[in-house]
Amino acid sequence: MEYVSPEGLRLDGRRPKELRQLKAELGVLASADGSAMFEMGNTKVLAAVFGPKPIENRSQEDEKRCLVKCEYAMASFSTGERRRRGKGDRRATEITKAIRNCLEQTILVELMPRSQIDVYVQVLQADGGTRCACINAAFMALAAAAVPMRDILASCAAGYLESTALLDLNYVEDSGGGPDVAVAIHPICAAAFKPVAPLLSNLQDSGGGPDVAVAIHPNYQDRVVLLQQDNRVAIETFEEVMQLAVAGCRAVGEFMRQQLLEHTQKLAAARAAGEQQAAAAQEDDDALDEDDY
Amino acid sequence: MVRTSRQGPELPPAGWLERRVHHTFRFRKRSRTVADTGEEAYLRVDIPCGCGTVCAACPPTLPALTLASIGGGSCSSAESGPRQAHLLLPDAAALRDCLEVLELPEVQNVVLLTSEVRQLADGGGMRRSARLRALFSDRRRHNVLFDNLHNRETAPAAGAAAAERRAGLALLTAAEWYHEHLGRRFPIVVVSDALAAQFGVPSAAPGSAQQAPQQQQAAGQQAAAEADDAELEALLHQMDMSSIAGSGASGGSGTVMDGTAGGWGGGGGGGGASSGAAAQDDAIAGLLDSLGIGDEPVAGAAQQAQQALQAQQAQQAQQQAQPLPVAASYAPLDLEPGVHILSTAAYWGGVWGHVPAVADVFDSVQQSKAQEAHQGGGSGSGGGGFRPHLSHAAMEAGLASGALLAGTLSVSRRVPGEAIVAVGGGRQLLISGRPALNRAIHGDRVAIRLLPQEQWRHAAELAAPAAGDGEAAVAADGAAEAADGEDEPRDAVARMLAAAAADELQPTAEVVGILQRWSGEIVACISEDDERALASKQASDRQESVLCIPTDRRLPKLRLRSRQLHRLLGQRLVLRLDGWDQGSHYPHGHLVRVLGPINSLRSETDGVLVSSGVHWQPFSEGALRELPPVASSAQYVIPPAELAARCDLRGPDYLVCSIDPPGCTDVDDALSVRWLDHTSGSSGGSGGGGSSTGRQLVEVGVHIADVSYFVRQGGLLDSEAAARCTTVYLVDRRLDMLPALLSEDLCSLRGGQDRYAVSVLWTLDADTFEVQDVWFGRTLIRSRYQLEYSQAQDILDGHPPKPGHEVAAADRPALQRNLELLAALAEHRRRLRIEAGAVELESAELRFNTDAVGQPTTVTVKQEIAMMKIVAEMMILANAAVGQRIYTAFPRAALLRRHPPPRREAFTEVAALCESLGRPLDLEGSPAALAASLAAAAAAAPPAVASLIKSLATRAMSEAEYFCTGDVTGLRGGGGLSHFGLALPFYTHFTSPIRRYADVVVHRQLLAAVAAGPGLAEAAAGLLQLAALPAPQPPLPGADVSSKAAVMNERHRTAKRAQKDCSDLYLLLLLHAQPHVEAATVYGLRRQSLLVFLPKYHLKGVIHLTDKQGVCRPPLEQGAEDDAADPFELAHRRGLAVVAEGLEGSAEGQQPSQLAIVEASSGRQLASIRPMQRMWVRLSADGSRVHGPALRMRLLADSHPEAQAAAQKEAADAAAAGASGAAQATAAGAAAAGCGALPRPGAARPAYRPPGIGAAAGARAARLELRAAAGAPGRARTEACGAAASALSEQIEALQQAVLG
Repeated sequence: MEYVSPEGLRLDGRRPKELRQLKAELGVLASADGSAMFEMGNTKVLAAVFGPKPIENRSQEDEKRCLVKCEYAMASFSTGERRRRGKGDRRATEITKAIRNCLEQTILVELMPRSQIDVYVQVLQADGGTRCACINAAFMALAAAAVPMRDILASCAAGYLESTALLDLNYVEDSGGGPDVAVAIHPICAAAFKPVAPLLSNLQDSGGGPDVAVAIHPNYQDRVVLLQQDNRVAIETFEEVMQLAVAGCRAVGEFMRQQLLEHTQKLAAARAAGEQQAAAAQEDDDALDEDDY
Repeated sequence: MVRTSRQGPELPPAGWLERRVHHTFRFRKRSRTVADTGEEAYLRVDIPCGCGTVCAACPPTLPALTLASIGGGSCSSAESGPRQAHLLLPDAAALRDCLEVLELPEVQNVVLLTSEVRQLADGGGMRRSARLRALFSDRRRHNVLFDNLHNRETAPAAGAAAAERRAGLALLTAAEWYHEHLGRRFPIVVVSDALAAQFGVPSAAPGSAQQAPQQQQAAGQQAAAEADDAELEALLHQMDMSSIAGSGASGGSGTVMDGTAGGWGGGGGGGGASSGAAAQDDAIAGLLDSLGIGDEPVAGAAQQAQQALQAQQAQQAQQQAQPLPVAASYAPLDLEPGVHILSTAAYWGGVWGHVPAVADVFDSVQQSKAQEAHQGGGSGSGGGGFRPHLSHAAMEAGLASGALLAGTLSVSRRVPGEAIVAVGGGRQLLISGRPALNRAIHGDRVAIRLLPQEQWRHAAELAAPAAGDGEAAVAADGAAEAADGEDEPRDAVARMLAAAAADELQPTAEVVGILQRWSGEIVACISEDDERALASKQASDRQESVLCIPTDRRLPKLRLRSRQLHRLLGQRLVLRLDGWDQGSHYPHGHLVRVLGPINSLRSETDGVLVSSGVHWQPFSEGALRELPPVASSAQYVIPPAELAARCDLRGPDYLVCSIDPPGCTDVDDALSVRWLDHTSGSSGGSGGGGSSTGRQLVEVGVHIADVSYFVRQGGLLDSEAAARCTTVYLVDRRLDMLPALLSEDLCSLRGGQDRYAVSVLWTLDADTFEVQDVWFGRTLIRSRYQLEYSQAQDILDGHPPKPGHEVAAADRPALQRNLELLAALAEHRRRLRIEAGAVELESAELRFNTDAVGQPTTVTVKQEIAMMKIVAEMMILANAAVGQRIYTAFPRAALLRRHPPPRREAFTEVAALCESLGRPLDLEGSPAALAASLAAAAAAAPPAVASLIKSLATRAMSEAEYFCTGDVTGLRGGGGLSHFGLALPFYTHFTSPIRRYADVVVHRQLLAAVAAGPGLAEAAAGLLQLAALPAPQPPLPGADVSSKAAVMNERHRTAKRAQKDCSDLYLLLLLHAQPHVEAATVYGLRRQSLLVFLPKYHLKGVIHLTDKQGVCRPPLEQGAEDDAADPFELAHRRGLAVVAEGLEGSAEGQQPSQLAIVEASSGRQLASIRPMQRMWVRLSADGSRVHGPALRMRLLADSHPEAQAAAQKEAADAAAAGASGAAQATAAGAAAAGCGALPRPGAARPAYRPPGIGAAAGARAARLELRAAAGAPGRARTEACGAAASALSEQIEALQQAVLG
């Protein structure tokens, strides 16, 4: 199988350094405090946030910080073969922990002592890069829930196939046996550089190749929040792939910032309209009253 | 928001404009399920069309089409052949079927669409993918790959079903786009049988319309076979068809379809016959016009095609009784006028009809396709399809009646499906093809039935593969499978065979049953495809089955089922065959053990041992307990009883020395010479020689380590040694027959240590070498010096000793005198043997120097030192004496070694060679005469040829074997008891008991004989007494000896094979790392190949002048290797022919007098090869994952740079040899002068040694080393990888620490 054609096109028509189409929608669920749908190409993830709220289990209460709970699940129809996936399997547990770790570093947990935030992430459609899409979706949902956070949290994966660094692998490329670096960063934070412990683990993704996952805080000079890697990579290759993944994270972060801005503007517009309406209604009422009298 | 400065690259803006999602199916081979997935396509406008200068809009690409040159539409110039002025867009089926045609250099301007290429890639076939890739990545071809799936204009609509994309609409869209894009200036040709059929253009001239669906079907079948799942293919096909029918019915797609319901393949032919024909003619004519090549001959061709077509259609119309009802419903296609749809046959036949090369290739491709389809129909029942084997009773009955024959199957290395069974009477029956082999594998003893005479093959057509059989193995060991002489064919069978011999027919047979399965262990590894599939999966405990490919090409692939396959990835495995079900393609086996990673030296050497049948395990505890309870010989105290029983030879007058190769630890022989007083008798025996005064008598002793003292008969140690039978010397290790305590210490006759020995002492006349007396017996010796060959040689020659080789000055003169006597004695005995007809044989023993990892770095051929021959002669003397002694003692139970005279037939090769030298061999006379004529021929020939003659003669010899004298009744086999090669009446093995079990047995027999009866001399003295004496009891009964002899012969053969295979392996590894050029001598010619001999490695091989396709391979003029994938070179080579001259009489076995490589077009002779010509040959080895390295020999032209370099080096060496010879002489003189002791005028002897050897060897070593340092790509790379890997882990650690701290 040829992953990059001689003219430099990937199997799905992208060039090596192009992201898939990103889509985000906020507030998709009425019942949640904050929710978001995040799509990277065919990968589609739904995230819902409940909280901050009083802690449920008193024994877990923390005087200083809020508790972040996370649950990750893949819909049984999310992949080609419909298979029931338990929540407790090794892969799910591992991704859950990775997501929670990222979120804990991003949320200003000190501001909300003795409280709890529940984050539910559901993969609706999986086509590679689910880990990164989940982190991005969770961040968007948290933002929609107006949870105070340090920075944008952006995540993206990159891999290396046929001696080309490829950004944002889809499933076919992910199964191609090359390395795969997933990164999450804080793209905007400009405060003093304080590295956060990256989660290094050697997990097996669907493919046999290396796989590096990274998350960064872009604001802290691209503070890296998560870095995961599958398979072994030569160090020069790793640098290249890592750079590409971070650049991808920044692009994703920028996209999310735009989306949040638009969402906020929409909210503001809606609120302004609502207030006007309310005012108009008041006036109407007044008018009615006047008429009455 | 404040942006900080960013490090690292920014992403370029995304270039795609639109995203579409298609619903597709993906087949999972492992779980055998079809899953539906969404496939994304990102559409863009920046995909270049690849048309170079014609298109201004697109950026230029590197492989570019060459439309510009004929932009004017004028006819192209002559010599480079016709230029093609249209774009060609083949569909997937055309790509698959006509790949060979598209690969021709004449065919240019092909646009390969991703949609079509990807369809093929799904079907698999690595090699085909590589060929496809070459089509569009080779710049000289002027073809391009166009990603129509992601071009916004040509991409299928969102939501379009896979079927629609498959149905060729994408192809048409792309064609129209190209036409539009290039400004409608160039004709676009879509070549597709399916589209041509679908749109009513009937299939081309020579093939009928019905051929198209048939072909399609065949193609479909093939694809199914490739996808390894017919059901899936059928399923997908069905999806395609139904959707096409649907879209056709709804008419939604806008194109006009054939009206018939089954429009996919069948309808077009009959339906649109007449109008279709017209349309096609128009198309071709228009195309030819637009190409500017519509001149007479071509038009003629088109005319012919048209006529043929019309005739055919008339015929068709007649066959179809009905008139053409649907003709009206056919409407011309609503396509751009410049876009033509042609079937493959119409295109290649019509447009390219005037280019013979293209037409020829296309025809042959079509033919082979048709044949394949036919054969597929014949045997296509899938599965194994084997006939059942006969029952045992039936086979026995058949064998008894003579209807069946039995023999051992030996499969050809070169032709996989062919095997030979040797039946009685020297006849070999051919078994050809898998059905005939019927699940028998190499080495099986099978029952076979002759096939009827119509199916026999002509001997002539078999000659070629048979001649080339030696290529695979390095100088394939000529151990021809001896015919099983037990089942003589009788009656009818015999008559048939006799008839066959008369008619020059090769009888063929088929296997009907397996009498006994070959039960060896098979060295194999998992096939690459399965390994890749496994590696891409997660480890699971599910039982799965994989295909394993044995290292030995003669064995079939095996199916292995296991739950732990992940552990076996990339490993060399040892398997055992379990069985072969009638219904399955492959036999199944189980895992015995894992040898280690593929290509590691250790596991490959182990593999050699396993496949040659050498078993090695550590010594058992019980056996070790039988050893003397000491750690080393220092603790061993000689018991007083032994001291009293043995003859003590430790006295000062016994100057016992051992002479061995350097670094030898298991010293099993030592020599002694004692000068006797004139009057005294011999020391050990009766005073037979005492009477002969006035003559100088001398006692010569051969002392052999007394292993039988430590290894008691019947003990555990004895049975272990008997099972091992021999020590196996491999390049990297030694597999001992005896535990190290014995073999390296207690038994080894080390210098200055008291050791037990069994000695043979001859009392001789010092001048005439007349034997006065022989004494055998157990002794106690103390070897004074442990000499090396070169050291002994120096003493003999009176040279000053090399450093580390000094001996006490007092002993030097005595040693020299003794050695001189031994040399003279050995020479005397040797002359006697040669006169009696001994044959001098020769084979090269290669020695490898290895680096720390065990990789071979250099190879040297063992140097011949005169001293070796002297020692060897003494050992032969001792062996012969002992052989005679034990035979007289135990005429019915002695273990001797014999060498039957060679079969005359084996000598044809040597005889031809010698005859060409003008020294014909005496094949009719006695063995002695044969040996003499052989020696004469060798002496007359130049050195390289002489060593070739000796080497060939060695191969022609029969194998020497151990036997029990009791087995020989009469003189069966012509050999009797005697040893042909050494020309001795009795011979045995006595002198190496540490490393051969036969010697231990002989020791016991000798000691039993000595203890019981009188010696030879005594027996000769008193014949009467002999009869009176009680017959001595042999230590082993005759039956046991003969069964042991059989085991020994077998073990020796396997050990020899293992040693040779191992040495070959190392040689090939070395050649793989360092290919180099060597001189070779041509010693035989065949029609298409030549036999060469490389004196340096004693390597014989076949060089074929044609490759497997019959394309000529001329001597290499330049470059590293000929590139089979390069169509330009291939075209050049196709134009060459090999002409064998001197074959006019074409008598059987006659060799051509000369082979010439001639350019067929011009008649120019490029090269000619005669027998005895010296050629330069490049040696290299192909690393194959499955089969290990294989030798490759490539003939180099004299003008090849490497050949020139080698020739220059040789000349330089020769020049240096002269200079260094002189220098050496002066140096030696100076050294002698420096010593002050000029022993004899013979100091000028250096000239007698081949001069310049040192210099040449040094230069060669340096060169090899340099090359190793410069090259060594594999190792260097792994080292680099290792370094990179460690750097990576370091970096990650550092990162972690920085992050945590």
